[in-house]
Amino acid sequence: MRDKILYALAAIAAVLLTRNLYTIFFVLGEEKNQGAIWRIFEFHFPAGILGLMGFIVATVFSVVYLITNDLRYDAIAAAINEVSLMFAAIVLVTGSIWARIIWGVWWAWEARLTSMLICWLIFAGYLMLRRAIDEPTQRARLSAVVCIFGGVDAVIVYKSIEWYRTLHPGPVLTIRGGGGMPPGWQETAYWNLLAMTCLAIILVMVRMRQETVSREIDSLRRLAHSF
Amino acid sequence: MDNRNFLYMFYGFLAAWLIVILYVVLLAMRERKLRRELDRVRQMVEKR
Amino acid sequence: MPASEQRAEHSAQQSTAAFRAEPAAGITLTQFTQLIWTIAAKDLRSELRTKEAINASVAFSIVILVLFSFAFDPSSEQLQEFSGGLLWLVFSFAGALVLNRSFARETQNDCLDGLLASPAPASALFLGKSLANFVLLIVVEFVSLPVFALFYNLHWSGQFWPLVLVMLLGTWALTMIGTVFSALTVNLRLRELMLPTLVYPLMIPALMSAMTLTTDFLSGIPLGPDNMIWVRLLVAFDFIFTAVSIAVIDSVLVG
Repeated sequence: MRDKILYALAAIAAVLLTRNLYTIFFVLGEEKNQGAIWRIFEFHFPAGILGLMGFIVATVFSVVYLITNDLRYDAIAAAINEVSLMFAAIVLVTGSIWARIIWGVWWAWEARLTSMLICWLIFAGYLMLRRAIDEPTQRARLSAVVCIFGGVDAVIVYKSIEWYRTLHPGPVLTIRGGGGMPPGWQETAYWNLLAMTCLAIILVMVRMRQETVSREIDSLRRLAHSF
Repeated sequence: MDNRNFLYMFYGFLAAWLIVILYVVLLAMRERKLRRELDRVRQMVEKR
Repeated sequence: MPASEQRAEHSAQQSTAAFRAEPAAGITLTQFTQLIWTIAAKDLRSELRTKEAINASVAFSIVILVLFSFAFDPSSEQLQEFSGGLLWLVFSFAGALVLNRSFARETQNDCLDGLLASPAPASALFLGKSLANFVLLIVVEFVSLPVFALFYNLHWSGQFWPLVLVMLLGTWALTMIGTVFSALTVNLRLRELMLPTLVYPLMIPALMSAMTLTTDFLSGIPLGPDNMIWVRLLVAFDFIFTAVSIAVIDSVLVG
């Protein structure tokens, strides 16, 4: 059953991604100032959404873990954090390349990229902490605490750095009152979000299963040594 | 398609896909390691 | 642990032993406050007897201040623009030394287990330690501040009371998060490395506010509608993370 879900998601993701790539390169129109580079937005934006939402969702699961002490929730939180870290890395790298074109520098300390970098650091610390603890229950407990701090802080970081620096291209999506991109790009961005969400779910499920297997190994090892 | 900055766009896409591929490879390596460990521990238990 | 600390520990356990006579269900606010005070007093007493952490911290902050003078031209006027930033960098680094020791010193002779086994709630233990760390950090900061002003020619008496407010708020944020993570990392292999790695990114909103406000106050700009937002951010940060810390401290310490 689980494998069937994985394969179905993979198929959907593959179809969507192919369609989106075709749309991105051949259908969408021109943007007068930036040349070809703006097409990267179609990956930069969904990755940003998935990264941030992932961190928040993982924080919720961490709270649930602390309440229920069920290690499955710890596995979910860890898996989501790891995958979100990957998406955050994509945001940082594509954002940096875009910045090189638009602003001429590889890194400009503007609000959203800086906030994403800080979140990346917080949750990289989370993963580092997990590697430093061998005992599963202690690892789950302590990393849940770090995740909660990280999640709460992520929200605060976003708001506060927005106040602190404002250079990022203003909100370009029409829901927030921006504009200035060629037609059809926004829709494609959301289609890409769907495709990447499927990809994210697949990766999280695989990673989660690895956590479960790892715990099974631990308990078997304890069984083997207990005689 | 407007070809200005095409090279950087290519780098951008390449970077994004590379990160995804690297992560998938990481997962696959971990999977293999876990499977080996699981088999080893299962054998240990069976020998009891 | 040295005899002075053992005596302090013993007197703390005697005070908390008085609570064993009470029924187990819940403790009153007065008892809670008294517990916090007892634990804070124990930590402060043992620290003030040896003054290890304070001396190391102050020495370290002075060294950093000297190092900074080589990183840029100390007499330039541009120094005004990042004076607050420098000061809080110094406070953060020196503070990490104090905070690391906070729970680390309890691991010898199973003192931590002793404290946790007492009927005192984990939150009282945590708040007591936070209070002690806060006092220590404030002392280190108020010693470093004149040295900083001396080395870099800054006027800190102009907006003194707003400066004190920022130092109190910012230090409380640092103390709160630092103490939780000190408790969290106490049994880890790479404790000294993990504590700063985890704490500094989390502290960024608070440090950012404190730095901005301090730069303003050191340049003589008073607290006004422009920088009020940073004070509000600091206060909100303190409230939120104090609440979160107290909520999760049981999971961290007791499990």
